[in-house]
Amino acid sequence: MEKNYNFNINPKKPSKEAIQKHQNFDALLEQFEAEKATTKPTPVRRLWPLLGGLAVAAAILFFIITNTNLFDLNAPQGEMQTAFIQPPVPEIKKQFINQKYKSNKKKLFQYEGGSSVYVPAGSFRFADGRAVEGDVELQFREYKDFIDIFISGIPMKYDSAGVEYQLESAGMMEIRALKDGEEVFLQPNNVLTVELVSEISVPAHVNVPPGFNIYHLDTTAKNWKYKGKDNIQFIDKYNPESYDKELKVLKNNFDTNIKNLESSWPIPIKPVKPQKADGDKYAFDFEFAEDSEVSKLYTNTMWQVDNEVDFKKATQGGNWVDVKMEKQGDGRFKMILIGEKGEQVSLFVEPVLRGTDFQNALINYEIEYKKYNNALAERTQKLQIQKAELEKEFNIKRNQITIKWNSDSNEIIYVKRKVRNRFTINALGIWNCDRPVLPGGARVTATISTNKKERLRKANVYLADERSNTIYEIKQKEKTNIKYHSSNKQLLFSLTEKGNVALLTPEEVPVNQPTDNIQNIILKQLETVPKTEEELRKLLKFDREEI
Amino acid sequence: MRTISQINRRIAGNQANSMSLKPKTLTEETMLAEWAEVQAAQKNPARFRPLYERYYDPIFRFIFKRTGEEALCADICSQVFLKALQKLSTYTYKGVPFSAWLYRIASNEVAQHYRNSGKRRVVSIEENQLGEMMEEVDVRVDENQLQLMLEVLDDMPLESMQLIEMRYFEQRPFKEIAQILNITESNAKVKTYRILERMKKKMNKRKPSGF
Repeated sequence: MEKNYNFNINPKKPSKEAIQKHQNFDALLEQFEAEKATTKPTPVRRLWPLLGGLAVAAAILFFIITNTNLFDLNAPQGEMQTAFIQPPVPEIKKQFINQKYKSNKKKLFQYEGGSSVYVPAGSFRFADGRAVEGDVELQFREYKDFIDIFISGIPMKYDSAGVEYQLESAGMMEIRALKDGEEVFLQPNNVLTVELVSEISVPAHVNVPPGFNIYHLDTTAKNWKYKGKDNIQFIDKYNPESYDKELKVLKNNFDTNIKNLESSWPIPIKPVKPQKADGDKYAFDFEFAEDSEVSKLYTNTMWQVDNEVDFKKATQGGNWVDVKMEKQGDGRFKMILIGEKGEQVSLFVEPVLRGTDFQNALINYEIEYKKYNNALAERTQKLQIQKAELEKEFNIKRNQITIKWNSDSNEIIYVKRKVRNRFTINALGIWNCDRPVLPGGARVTATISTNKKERLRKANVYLADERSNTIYEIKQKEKTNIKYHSSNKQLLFSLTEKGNVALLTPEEVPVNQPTDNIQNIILKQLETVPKTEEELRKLLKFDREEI
Repeated sequence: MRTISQINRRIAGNQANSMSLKPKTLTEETMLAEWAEVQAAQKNPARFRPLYERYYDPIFRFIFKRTGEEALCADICSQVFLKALQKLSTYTYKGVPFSAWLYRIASNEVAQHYRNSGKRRVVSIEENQLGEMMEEVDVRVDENQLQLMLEVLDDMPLESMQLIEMRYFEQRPFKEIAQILNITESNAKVKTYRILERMKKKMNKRKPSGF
């Protein structure tokens, strides 16, 4: 009997989903803030030096704000190709989708792929604050995957409180507005409502997308600014029953295999036990054709009638020219007598034997019955063995499917899911739906070259991972975090000065983290110089057979 | 006490796997990166989010092994992170992972719960882990001895149980155990082996109940 402890042997562990249900940082923060507010305030006299300092800082800040446009999100930022944003392949650009509309009316702009932007009436102003009237051209482009991000040259590093994060995107966009070729801006307090449709890679068992935030790119401060939580939802009809479906298919195949196995070995035919003729009953004596089923029964078989009335009906009925015998389930036959004019009489009969015919048939029956039993036993045994093998195979495959879909499994299956990000923007420019992650891996200095010793355009190497919409930039001779994955497909690539793509395919990218301070990366140079986005996409694929 | 059956086969099957479940220790660089996150959170509690998201799951599982009930575990887990936020300003980096500090808070909160409720402390054990421990005390692995081992464990004071729990039932390295309990690594090793020696002596003295 346990006295001090309650031992829980082989307890059932909570699943990741069950734990996630309880996870709520916002609620925790709220509780923390609420409890902090009930604590005693600091005595005022101790705050005087602090208040004095704050007043001075506020004055300086006021001066800065009123004399510069440093904090004006709508301040002209010029062409987005500032020194901060440097597309590595200037000749390949994501094209804007340009649409003109009457700015005094509200308008919902809808784009291929499902993204949209809602613009209220009278949303725009010139740089000097005057309201824009008449036609306005809205320019919109999206960056959905690592190739889009690479082409754009938009940095995916995010500095927060001195910590450098990598931004993994669930959808990024750039939006601008022009009036007669002149850049215009959003009116103060005006917001546009945006829905960005994109794809993210998530574990198969996940029902709710992970948390993402909204960031706006401040090209003046050269950093992303956090703007709030992303309202992100899955919008594809991902079948949560895929696990059940796979199991059902497996079960159906198993059942079919069992049926095929059984039919491949027919059940032996049970011999019919001969019946002795009853001397008090009437019987027919026929001569059937040799190839008929009834003749295959015992020789000299007579057909005994149970019912005297039926026998008299049959024999007194007329001239019968044909007879049909229909086997019944109980060993009897239905005998149908057919007359010249097609009239019929039917009666039930059973096959019987007399005298020595019966004795011989009985001896033969016993021999045949033994054979039948042996054949049946052999069939049962062999089928059992083969069925057991099929069952074993079924169980192995079922376990594999269960492991594949089981969220507690060490091996997590990732799938691409369509998402819609919904948020509002109070300025034009580049907006991103992201989650910041610590780059991880090892911090090393890389020396980068190609196998043909060609110079690289930007002396950098880009690392793409199939499971995240981002680009990691490994800079030549600068300490960078490099994280290789043993299970994710990754691409290492760059461009030579002449525009050739040089890369390491997923099979060639190292799987182990670098252990030395220096990482030598030698890319393999391809012959092709991509001129368009499509050509670039053909070269930068995670699946090698498609390269 | 629950009876244990078919131990030998399961132990033989699982021992190879148990080695791969040992948690990885953090590098100095990772700990420093984390310290930067903690410092950011000390200035702005909203920045605690990445730490919360990183450690919620392992802390939950740590508490669940000691309580066995999901709802109770969730309550205690919330308390742990609230306490962590409240005391975050007192935390300084001393060359040990931030998680060790969280586990210490979690351990204290669990102990407090049992003091308040007066209930018996839950100890979660996988059968193969008992087998491993028995090999360490040089005892034959069979059903009778396992039953006896549980009786001996039941007599153990909480401080000793915590060490055995973390070493054998959670397979934490001594370094991590020391960080959580705020003792030196060699102290953790010495204490553990002394506990095992005492267990071995007790098992040799006693006969299993019911036999």
